[in-house]
Amino acid sequence: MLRQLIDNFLLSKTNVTADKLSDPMLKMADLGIDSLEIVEMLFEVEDQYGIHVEDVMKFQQMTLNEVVAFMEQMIRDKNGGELPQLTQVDKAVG
Amino acid sequence: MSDFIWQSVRKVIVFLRGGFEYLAMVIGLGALCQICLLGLPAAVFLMCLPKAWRIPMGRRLIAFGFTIYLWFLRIFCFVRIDCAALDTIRRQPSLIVIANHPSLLDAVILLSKLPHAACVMKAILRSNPLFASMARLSGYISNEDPMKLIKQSCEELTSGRQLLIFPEGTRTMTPPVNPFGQMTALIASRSNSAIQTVFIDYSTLYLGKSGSLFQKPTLPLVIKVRLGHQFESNGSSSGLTDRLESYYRGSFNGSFVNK
Repeated sequence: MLRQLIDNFLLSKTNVTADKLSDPMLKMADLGIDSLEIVEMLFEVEDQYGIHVEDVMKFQQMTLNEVVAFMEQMIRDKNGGELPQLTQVDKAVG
Repeated sequence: MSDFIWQSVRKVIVFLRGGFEYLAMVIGLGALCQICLLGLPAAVFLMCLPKAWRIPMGRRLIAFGFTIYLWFLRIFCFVRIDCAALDTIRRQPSLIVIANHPSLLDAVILLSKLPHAACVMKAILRSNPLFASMARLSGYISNEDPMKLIKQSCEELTSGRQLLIFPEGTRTMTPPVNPFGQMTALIASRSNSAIQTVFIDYSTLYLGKSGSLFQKPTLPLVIKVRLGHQFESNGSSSGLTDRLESYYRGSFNGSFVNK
């Protein structure tokens, strides 16, 4: 669900294409999105899961899978190991 | 013969005028340094205060210091500054104030009239010995980390205070304005705050991005600040940056002098 939220955001709000999203080796900086778009993406996750992310710069050198794993760990830490289910991911980024 | 005398007189006048312009530049920059140095003991005093008192008091002190400095420029440096338009928005809560940024003097002029505003400033200025202490103690916001910047800006706005930001991100390099960044629109949409546009016009450009710090001004230097439209964010940043930039480009319409 978290991965879907991030994918939806990147596809709808940035110029990232679906084939780039499926490349596991590409870093966030290589996707062609700037730091402010990464910030917007992180805000999207923050708003949905109620977490607080610090130091946005480190995300630029992570792959998308690493970002998702990092965020998921933060969410699980906040929720006692659980990953809350979002019901309307499409609406969340629409 | 009379032509020769007249031309000689003109040359002397031009020489004296150039000399005065250099003198005005030196005493103007010197006075700014003095005002900033006077802020150092004030900063020591502010450090002793709790944050709730320190930030509003620091911002008022900065506004006061810059007001004194602008009067100094008016009296001794032949600079005419009309920024009275800002009085009408001085007390408007939760307002994002944006302006074009042709000169180093812009922030000085705007902050002299906006004592409740947090200013978004370049990270490098927060380590400048002249500005750093007062800027830090007054809670001005560094642009070093965009996430922190947005969160701190939204906190300021939701607390009812104002935010001063230059959407070009730096001083103007390609008149009338550089391309705008997305930051302003993002802050406005997340805090649901209105954006007040402000225009700063200079008779001739002084302390611009392309000029030297020690370049003399062409006197009299006339600076006029005028208010533009107020934009509502309506909770969405989409398209707002383009609308703001187009509005600025359209509003100068050849009236902007940048030479």
